[in-house]
Amino acid sequence: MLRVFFLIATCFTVLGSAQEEKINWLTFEQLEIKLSKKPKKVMVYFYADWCVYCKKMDQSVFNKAEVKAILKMDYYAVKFNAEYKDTIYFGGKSFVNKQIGKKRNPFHDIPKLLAGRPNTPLELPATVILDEKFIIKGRYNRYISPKEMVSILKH
Amino acid sequence: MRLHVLICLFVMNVALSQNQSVKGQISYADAPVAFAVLKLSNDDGVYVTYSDSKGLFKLSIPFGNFSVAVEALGFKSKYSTIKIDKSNSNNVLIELEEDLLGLDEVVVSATRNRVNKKEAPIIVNTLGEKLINATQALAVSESLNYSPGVRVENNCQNCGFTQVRLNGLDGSYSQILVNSRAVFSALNSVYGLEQIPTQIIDKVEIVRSGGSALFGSNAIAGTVNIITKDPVLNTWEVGGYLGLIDGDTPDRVLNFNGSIVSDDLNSGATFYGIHRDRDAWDANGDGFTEVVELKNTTFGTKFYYKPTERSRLTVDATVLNEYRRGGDRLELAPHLTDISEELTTNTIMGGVSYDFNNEANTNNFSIYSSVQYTDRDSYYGGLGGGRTAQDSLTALNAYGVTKDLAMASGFQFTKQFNRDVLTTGIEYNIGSTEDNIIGYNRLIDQQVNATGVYAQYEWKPNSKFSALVGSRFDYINVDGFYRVGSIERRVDMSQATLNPRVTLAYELMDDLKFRGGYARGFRAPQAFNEDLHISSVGGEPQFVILSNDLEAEFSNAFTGSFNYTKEFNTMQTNFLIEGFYTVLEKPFTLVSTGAQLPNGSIVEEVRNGEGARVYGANFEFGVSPSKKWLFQVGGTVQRSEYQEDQILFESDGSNPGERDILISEFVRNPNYYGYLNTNWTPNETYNISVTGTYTGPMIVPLVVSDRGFLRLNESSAFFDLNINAETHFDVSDDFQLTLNAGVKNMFNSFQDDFDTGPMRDSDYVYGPALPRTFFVGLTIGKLH
Repeated sequence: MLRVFFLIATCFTVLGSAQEEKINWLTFEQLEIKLSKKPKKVMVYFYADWCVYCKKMDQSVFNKAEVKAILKMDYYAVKFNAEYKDTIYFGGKSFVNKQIGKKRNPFHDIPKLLAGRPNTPLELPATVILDEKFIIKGRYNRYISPKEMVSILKH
Repeated sequence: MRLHVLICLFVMNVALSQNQSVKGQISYADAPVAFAVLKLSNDDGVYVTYSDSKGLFKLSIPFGNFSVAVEALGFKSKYSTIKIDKSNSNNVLIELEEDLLGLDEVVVSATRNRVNKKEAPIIVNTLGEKLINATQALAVSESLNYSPGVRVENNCQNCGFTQVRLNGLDGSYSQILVNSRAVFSALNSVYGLEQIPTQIIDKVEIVRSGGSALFGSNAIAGTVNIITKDPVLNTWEVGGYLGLIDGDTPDRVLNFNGSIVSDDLNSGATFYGIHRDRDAWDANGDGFTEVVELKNTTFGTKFYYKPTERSRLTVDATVLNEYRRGGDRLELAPHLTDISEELTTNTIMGGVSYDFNNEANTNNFSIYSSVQYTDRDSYYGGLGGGRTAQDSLTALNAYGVTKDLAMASGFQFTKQFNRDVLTTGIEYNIGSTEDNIIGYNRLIDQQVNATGVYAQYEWKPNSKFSALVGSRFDYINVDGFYRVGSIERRVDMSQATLNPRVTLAYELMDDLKFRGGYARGFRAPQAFNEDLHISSVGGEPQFVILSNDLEAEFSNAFTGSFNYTKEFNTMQTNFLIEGFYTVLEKPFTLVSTGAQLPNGSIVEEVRNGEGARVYGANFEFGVSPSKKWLFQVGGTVQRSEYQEDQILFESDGSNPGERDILISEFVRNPNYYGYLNTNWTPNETYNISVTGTYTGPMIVPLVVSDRGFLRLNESSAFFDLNINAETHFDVSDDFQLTLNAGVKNMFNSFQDDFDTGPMRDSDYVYGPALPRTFFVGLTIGKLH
């Protein structure tokens, strides 16, 4: 309880009015630059326009002050449309969307790699938590409530 | 602070070992890999470093053999060990290879998958929100035509009563479910389909033929399952619709709905309401309606609560108030007109269900109960063209009251084995109907109690073959008393039947599936659906009564189908051809016995008819080259024939011009019918759809004398084409707007030989439900 209070207090004092602050969503290219300057934990969030639970994540999870505060302090946050069409350069390699023109919902290689599982279609929303060394620590192919999100991010 | 600790550690590390400065590069296919984590380890220690943006790394490490681990997105090291010595210490090359599946060690929690439609042992046709939108259907009944084998027909000029035919069999052979529960009562199935507003519907699932034991024993033609929306987002919307029937008769709708769902998705509620006000329309200027006046207000809510992660409580409640009036001179009290059918219906329905799973999600339990109570004031009658004191007295006595109670409660248990699924359950239904018109001395007082026990096993021995084998045991008790004038009938029977159901599915090729099925069904003698409706003929009411020794009806249904589903890149194709063959033993058949009652009213008897068979084929072809285009066409070719000619009108021989009317095939049943559905969505802002139905010629009986004598007419074919254009504006994240406009029945393909005047046969209607109708609609709100 005290911790929560402390956290809320910090986010109010440090960030000013946290409620109006938006999450600083990064692209993978921006993430690369940030990581090279200062390694930090990373949260990657994959969504698609047709995904209703993704909208729920936007409306009910990523707008919560506590979630925003933790992400701001301890994480680099990446939001990525799983159907992104263009090439992404990351880690010296290029990643493309090989399914364009082949699938109804063409998934980019990055979500397939980070959030995919063998023999199972990619399910959205997908949230991937990586540590400072860019090693996957958790992967969630489902809706995460704000409470759970806070505990995942703090863990 | 943290940096300081890190430096300390680093310094300690240097101090404690004989480390050498080693440089190197991490690469994949000759290209450097940036920000990869390199981990070298042996018995003496673990050394970790990152590569920089050029793939280069530096490390302080003693010479020796190390095992290599590289953690980079989608890569692993090409080799497992490396030797570092003086010769390579300035240029340690770490080559990587692709590792697409190496990420699966992380524990994953995933959402439960829905059953893939393609895999299902039974063919399910789904009508989604998109189609409902495209056809601008205001009630469920309007959108059902867009599925193969389904035809919705309008049965009465005076009250607009509709029924759904599946595979050519009338409404009493199919079961209408709301959220998979049978809450439609005998009375409700008369008008109920018109009363469910489409905005609360997520989709409608249609299963033709009774291949599943889970459905009622009468559901031999199939089931129509109306699935209501389950909210996820907090949304609201308010919509309005204005239609102009034949260009001048208004049909107005105002509706709203809103959903609130908690952040953790553990509770949520939806509220909805609709008000519809449609004026009556007269096709031929005889002063009598062809499309009835309608005023409907519905309000409802559905909410859920999840006490734990694995359980869910759902409660829903709807109240519905409807006024219908058809006939002539709608401004007068019904008994002062020639013909009036006036119905004021108050319905309240609600249900509770509780579902829970075990931890492994393999056992699912469901307990449910739903109740529906309807109180209806009716007026079926009028002066019928006469102006004598007797006519006035008769007209004054045509007011009636109906009370209808239906209850369905049950328990279902589903167990998932590795591949197989066992479903078993028990269901108890009560139906109590009392329909009383004192003036005609007409009474229907019926209690039906039915208990069904079923078990079904879905067996999947391998990936190609699956079988759905099940059976249901039904025990039904009907206690009914039926009276019209001096005719009285009583049914007091109990019957137990065992109805086996089998469906087999075999995947012939990757994209081609064969399915075959058998189902046995039965119907106990009872008043149902149209038996509760009174039409008007020759200025007098026409009653339906059960015949004296009506016996249960049995049926056997066989189906076989081939379904081809393939995706060529973004193009989706689907082809279905399905044959059906249904044999009815002693089917319930309406036979007109002429003007039996002293006041000249015609009585139709429900009798066990001649054995009959209905057979034919349904097809559906769909292709969607991309998300922008959708083309779908489907239809049915069928025959329905009695083994021996069936009597429809029984002459008493008193009138030389009248003889028995016999027929070899079903009436009101076209041999060919179908639909088409096309949609073009060039972008997120616009979409245009063209939909249409074709109804082939059919035989429709017309009463031509006040004694009930019939003439069998052949109707012409109809092609009912609709167009709807829609545009969507995102004003902000929280506010959107959708505008649409279009025409229903563009070519005004409509019946042109309605019977006219006060003596008309109000059942002589067929073909499309509406003439050419222009419409506009507007929806605002937080739509997504």
